[in-house]
Amino acid sequence: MTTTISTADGEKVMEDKAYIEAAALLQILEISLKRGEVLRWLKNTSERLTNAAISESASSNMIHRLIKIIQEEFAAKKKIENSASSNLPAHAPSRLDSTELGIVDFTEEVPDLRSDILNAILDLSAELESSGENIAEDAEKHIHQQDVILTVGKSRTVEKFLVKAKAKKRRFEVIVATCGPFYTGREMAAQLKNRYKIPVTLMEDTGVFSVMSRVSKVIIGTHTILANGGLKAIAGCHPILLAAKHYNVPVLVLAPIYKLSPDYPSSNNVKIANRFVSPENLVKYEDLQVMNNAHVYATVFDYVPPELITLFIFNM
Amino acid sequence: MAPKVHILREEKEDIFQAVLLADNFGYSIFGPQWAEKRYPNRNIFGDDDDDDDDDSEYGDDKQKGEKDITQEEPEIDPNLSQECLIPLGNRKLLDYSLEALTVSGVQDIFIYCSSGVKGGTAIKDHIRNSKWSDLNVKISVISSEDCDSLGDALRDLDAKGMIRNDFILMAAGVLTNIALKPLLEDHRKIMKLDKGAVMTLIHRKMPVGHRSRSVRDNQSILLDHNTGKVLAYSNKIQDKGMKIPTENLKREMEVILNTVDTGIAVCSSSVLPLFTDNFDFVSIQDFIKNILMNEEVMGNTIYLRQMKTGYANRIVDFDSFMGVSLDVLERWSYPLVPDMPFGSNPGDPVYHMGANFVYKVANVIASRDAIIGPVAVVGCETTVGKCVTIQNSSIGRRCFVGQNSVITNAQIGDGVTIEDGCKIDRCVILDGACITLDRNMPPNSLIVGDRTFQIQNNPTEDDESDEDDDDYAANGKDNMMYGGHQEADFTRFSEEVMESLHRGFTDNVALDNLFVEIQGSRTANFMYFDHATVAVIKGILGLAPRLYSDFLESSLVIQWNKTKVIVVKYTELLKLYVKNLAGQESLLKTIEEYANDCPYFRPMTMQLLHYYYDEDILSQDVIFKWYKKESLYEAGAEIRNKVQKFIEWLETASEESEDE
Repeated sequence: MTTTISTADGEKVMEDKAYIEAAALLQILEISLKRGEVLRWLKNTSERLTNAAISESASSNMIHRLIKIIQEEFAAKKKIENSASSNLPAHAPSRLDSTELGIVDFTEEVPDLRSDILNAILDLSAELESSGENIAEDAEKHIHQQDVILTVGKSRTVEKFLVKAKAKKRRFEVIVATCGPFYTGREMAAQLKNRYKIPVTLMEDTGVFSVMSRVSKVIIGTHTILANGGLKAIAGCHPILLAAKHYNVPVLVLAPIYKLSPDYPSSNNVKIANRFVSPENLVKYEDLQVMNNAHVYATVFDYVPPELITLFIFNM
Repeated sequence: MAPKVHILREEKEDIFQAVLLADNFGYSIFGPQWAEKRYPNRNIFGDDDDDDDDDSEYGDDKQKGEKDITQEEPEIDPNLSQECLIPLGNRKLLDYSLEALTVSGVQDIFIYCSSGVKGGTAIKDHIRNSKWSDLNVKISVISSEDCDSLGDALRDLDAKGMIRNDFILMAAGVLTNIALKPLLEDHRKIMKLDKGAVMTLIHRKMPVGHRSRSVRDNQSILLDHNTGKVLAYSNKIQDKGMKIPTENLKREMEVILNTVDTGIAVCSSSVLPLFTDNFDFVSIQDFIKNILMNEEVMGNTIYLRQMKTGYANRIVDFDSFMGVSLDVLERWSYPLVPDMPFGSNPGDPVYHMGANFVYKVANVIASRDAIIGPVAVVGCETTVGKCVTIQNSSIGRRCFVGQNSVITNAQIGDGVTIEDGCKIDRCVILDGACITLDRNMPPNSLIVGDRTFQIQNNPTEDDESDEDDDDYAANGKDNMMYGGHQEADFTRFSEEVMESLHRGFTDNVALDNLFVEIQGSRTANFMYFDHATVAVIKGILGLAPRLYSDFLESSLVIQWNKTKVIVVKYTELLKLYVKNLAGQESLLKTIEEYANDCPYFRPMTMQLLHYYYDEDILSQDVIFKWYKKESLYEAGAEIRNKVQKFIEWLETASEESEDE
């Protein structure tokens, strides 16, 4: 079994990456479920995955959800089997990191649990696949005629959202901030402009303040939503959202549910670690002056505090 | 029979294979002395291990003393005998190469280790003890006792018949984050267009003076700009111009100076048989040289791909080792960086990067006073004492660094003890060494156990002299032509040219074919282009007496008429040779020489010059220049006399045109 989800290609599109990771994980799980001791195995796997790609949370988020589902299924079965011990509410308030479903002995054998879990995985997988479309369903409620939308970098979810609005005959304009070190905004702008004929302005993220007064909404994707409601998003987001706050422009964050993470932002918590990639995108390797005299950091993520965000749009 | 065919097809199935050399065959990162030490019985230049060993050079002063020691104890720690197991960052050099290969989807890796069973075992142990053993990749370690060169290694592999597809050949000490699969696919595309393509060399753009570029590793390469085909290849920076055979001139060519060989080559499956057929190929350089020289005969070609992005470099000496280790710590090689968990076991602690490129792991005990960074790796269970400075260095696991020590630009293995107050700069310390204050620790040292070897880095003079004949171009014969010729050769060549012209005149051969024929005999006789010009002119002039037996007895008018027919016929041919001022000067000089040798011709000189002037083969200025110059020949004055009228006419003509 592969535990390293390779990060060799430099994650040009974070969101895609997370999606692929999560999808790949589900596949692996389907195969691996033949083993016993599912829960313990899942927890171990989650840990290994986290270690393998410390800055990627999508896969371990997925596992947390799965653990939760299994526990619920188990408890539900138990309940039917032994109605006397109905001390569990049918739908316990869901917390991703909760493990307390009362004192349940998970080592007990329960019939038909396996097929139920497999079904749950299939559901999860279907949900994953349709998450982008589901979010886009809401597009026309949020994008109005003559809107000026600002977005950062490239996000598949945001792209779908905008395209959906365009399909619903909304006329609007998009400003895309480029966002280093991968400058994915360029790709996004080209895509919107050429393929979907949406009017697009491309600009450096550092210059966004100057146009913010004109913007009617900021719509962004994110890499992870942290437990406090803050974001771990593409580098450059924080200053842009501060500018939005200054002009009181509403900020919409589009997030499939697998982006929800139980981790809190804290400088010591390695789980939300930033990722530093090769400085090559910022400075040329052949540039002797810089190579010999400076250290170059190429960070991929920003932390955005929750108070800068107006609205989250999920897929369920 | 049917099942057999099936099996064959299955084997042909596209398995992505790669050969990773574990050492550089007698060329150690630490210099030739080190290689000699490792193979006390072998000739250095014959069998350097090339790949991964990093640091084996000793200082010149110490060399002799050290050698004696070596002879007394030829046994060397097996870890040490493998350059690929030298520490770099928090892992071994080999791990970086393996990661580069596995991430690219290589399914079948052959690690070729030339230092015998012992070295092979060390590598096997390393692989067994790390994640590599349980990846879904087949890694085979091949160790050989009597393999002295890259050529031997590849011949051995060919004999074993394990490589059936196109494969990646990766030298020792290669670090790259470039995806290799696309390179292989590109090479296959080239093979579709050019069936003879056997190898694509991968180079990375890196200017001279770059910290990670070895001063020794220099190439000047001439490429066909459109296809990337190598036209000429030289193993040194050419400051005095490069020799390029005229046949190879293409419309758009590219001279490449600012790249380094990354040690990665994409090879067609025909490369191994080529090595087997040519048992004298020792290094990849021999191979390139030979392929280029025999391009016309064999039809094999080499291509080069110049990478402008992505990280790819090869550690070839101590300087590049130091440079590359900094590149790794400063993340240029991402994702081959210390905080990525490749090559380690699932249970191993993961490194994390903090500010200033400081990589730390759990269980590091560092004093508050210690200044760690910028750019440092500290392994787990390592203790760092008070007021220690660690910069641009990495320290392995379970090490102890005493108070007030200063460590800069060092790569330190596991379990090393450094006592209080030591100063270490530009050193490589292998596992388990103990550094005491009274120990001599000069910069550029390799420390193994209780021995210190100073690394000598600048190329020795021997290396220089070796390189002189390292120049090779496609159709290399043309270069040999410049090597000076014999008078006899020229006479033979002139005779051949004359034959060609003769036949061309009587059989009325097309001029193009004649040109090709003359070029052919020129190449066969190792003649310069200038020689051909002279031979052709003399041939044209001398053809008339040769054709007509009564030529010399006939009247001047008849002589000129007969000569003129030939001259006119070959005007276009001559234009192919006389293209510039130098050509014109050469033409005049040859005519004069001919007139000097053959008195009958002297009266006709004026007509001939006039004709060539009218045909724009000769220009006025060149004629004047020639006329005014003192003649080298006896009959020079007489000849000048004969053409005086023509010169006067020319002068008048030019004055008239000026007046207008």
